[in-house]
Amino acid sequence: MLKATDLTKRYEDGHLALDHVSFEVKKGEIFCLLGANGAGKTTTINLFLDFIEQSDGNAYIEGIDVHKEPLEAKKYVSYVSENVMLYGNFTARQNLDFFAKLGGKPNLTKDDYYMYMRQVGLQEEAFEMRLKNFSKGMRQKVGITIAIIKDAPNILLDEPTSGLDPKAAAEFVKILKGLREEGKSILMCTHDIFRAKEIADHVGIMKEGRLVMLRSRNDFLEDDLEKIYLEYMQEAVV
Amino acid sequence: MILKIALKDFYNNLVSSRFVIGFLLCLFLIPFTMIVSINDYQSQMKAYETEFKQAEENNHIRVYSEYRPEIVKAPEPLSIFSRGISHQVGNKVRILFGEKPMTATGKTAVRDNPLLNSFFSLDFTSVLAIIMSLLALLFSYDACTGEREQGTLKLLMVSSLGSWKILLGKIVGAVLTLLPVILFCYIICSLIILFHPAVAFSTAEWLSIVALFGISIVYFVFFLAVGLLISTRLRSSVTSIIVCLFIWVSTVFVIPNMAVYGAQSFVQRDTEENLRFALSDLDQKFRSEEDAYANTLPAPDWWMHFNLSGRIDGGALMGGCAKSLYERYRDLNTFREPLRVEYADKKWALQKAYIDKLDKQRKFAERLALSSPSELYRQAVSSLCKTDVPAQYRFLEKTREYREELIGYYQDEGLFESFNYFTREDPKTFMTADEIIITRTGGDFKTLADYNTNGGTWKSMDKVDIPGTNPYEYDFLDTSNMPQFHTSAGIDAKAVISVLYRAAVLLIVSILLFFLSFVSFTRYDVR
Repeated sequence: MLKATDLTKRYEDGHLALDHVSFEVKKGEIFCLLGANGAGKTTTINLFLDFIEQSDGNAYIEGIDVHKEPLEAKKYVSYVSENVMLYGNFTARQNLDFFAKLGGKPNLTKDDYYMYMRQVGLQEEAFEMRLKNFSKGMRQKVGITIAIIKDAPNILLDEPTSGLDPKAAAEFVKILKGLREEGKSILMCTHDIFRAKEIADHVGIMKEGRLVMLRSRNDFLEDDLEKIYLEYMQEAVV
Repeated sequence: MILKIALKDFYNNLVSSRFVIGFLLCLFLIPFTMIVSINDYQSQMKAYETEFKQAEENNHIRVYSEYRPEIVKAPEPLSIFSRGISHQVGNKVRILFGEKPMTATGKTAVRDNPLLNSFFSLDFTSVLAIIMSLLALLFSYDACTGEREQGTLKLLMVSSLGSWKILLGKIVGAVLTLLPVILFCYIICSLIILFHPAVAFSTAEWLSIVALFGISIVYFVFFLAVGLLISTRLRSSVTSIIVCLFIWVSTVFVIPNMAVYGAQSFVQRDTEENLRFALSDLDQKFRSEEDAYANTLPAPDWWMHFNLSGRIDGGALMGGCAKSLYERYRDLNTFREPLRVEYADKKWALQKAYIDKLDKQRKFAERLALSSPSELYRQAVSSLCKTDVPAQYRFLEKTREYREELIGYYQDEGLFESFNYFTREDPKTFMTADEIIITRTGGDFKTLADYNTNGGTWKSMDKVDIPGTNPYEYDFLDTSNMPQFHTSAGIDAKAVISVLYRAAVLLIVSILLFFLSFVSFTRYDVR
């Protein structure tokens, strides 16, 4: 479970990146944060990962205050970034092995890694290929595999489908649905309103650091999410 | 987990082009440098053997006043690793009673063609100081920035490892990568030394090489810490490498040169000309006192020196002279030689003041250079290899001690008051001037006055030879009982302290830099 209460971030130059944002991602839910660039989506993720220090409010992972007990909190979270790079000189399996051991899974075998990679739809011939030869979509799959292997109850995704071709994006969405079924709490920041509409249980629209709209699946399916989103964006432009 | 990160970095480094280039550089430069250094050492040894033989021959003396031994310092075998100042200072010292040894003389440039000495040449430790510092920076400048730029730092930080473990893993990874390179360099050197017929190292010297290896690791760890700290302070690898290279050039090349310039600018010293003038004044005073005393002595009945060979520093080899002249010389020596030693002490006060000022300048430069780790490293290594300035001072100090010992021997044995100081004729056979005239002219002239007034010539004195009056027929003196100069082969405590002090400074600063890196990394913006 992920929870933000009055989460605020003001940088030293005075810029207010996040303004009292509160939301909760329950077990088996996908929460999509939508918003334009600079709206505060990635800042929210960074605060959940303790990459930056909040100015006010709190972020909780499984009820643990991230800022007070970051190492304890990080045991219960996985993260997939917008552009998964990993170690180019390592093969996909070696990358998985390295991060699996860091994530506290020291006893996985080669077959286990192969099984996980098949699960995310990575082609067999790529398993022992060096990652520097991978396309973005393939790297993204390795990134999500790392998150799956860690088997943390919470997953943070920062623009995971950005730059993916439609087929890869569709496969990615399928994987996320599977993870939701396993009971994971997933917080996904994205520009991709169509993917959000497809998989989100809750959608939050962020603008200038504030969470300006929060709708559940039933609500935004009834309303026209695209229209609402564009209205908010339009206001942002104005 | 730390080891896992370390092994990951080790593998990543191993397949990187910077490692391959660094390794090839060492593979080419280190053996090449060693062979050049060994050849230089061989030439030095040849020159030393010739000079030593010459000095031994010069020590064959007929009278005690001739004994002014020349001490030739053997080249240090470890100069193969670090030349220090051994190529800039002399290796010979003549023990004089009239002056204490202040500096060594002699040619120490090693190449047969002296014009080749103008070419740039580096010893093993200088090459290592340049390469290892550069490699250490190249493998640490992007420790954090690189991970941040390739997006893996976030993934590392999401693990529940803690930033200090991640950083420690990266340090161990860099050490694991470069430690074998340093080890490889030393193994190559050791093999070359082991199989080179011209070099034979003692156990102490092999132990010194082990210590050299230890200091090299500390030195390389220092630059690793510098690179790491910079990497934890910056966000971009490009900026990091620029800052690292700036620090590298400054600490390896600029600061040592600036330290010399600073010392020359801020610490004044007398010119050598002033010292020479002051010493010349004392020499003048010594001669005046000598002349004044000589004037109080009764004139001999004959000033004739049938055989006289003048030597430096009061040395004289005489034969065939009148008894009264011998007695005058003996009386003069009894007064003059202790006076010579006394004036040497007076001159030494001036010389020491001059040396102290030179040393003050050196120490000032050394302190300024403490801000350069490569200079600290070079100082520690040359100290270990006995090629630093203090080692040269210790050698000169030993020669001065030996001089005192020798003078003590002369005084104890009463050699200054002895006729053997300048002649080997038996005092019982000394003749008056008239007796010499009668004997040498075969009775043609009865007295010196007769010889002088009745047309005596040198030719008329060649009629009858007096045996035992030709100094060049004297046997050589047995000098085996005289004090001999011995070099100490053992390890000097001061040198050990000097090495440990510098290594400790490097290590402590490295630990401090690592600590700062950890503090900095906990606040690192991983985004």
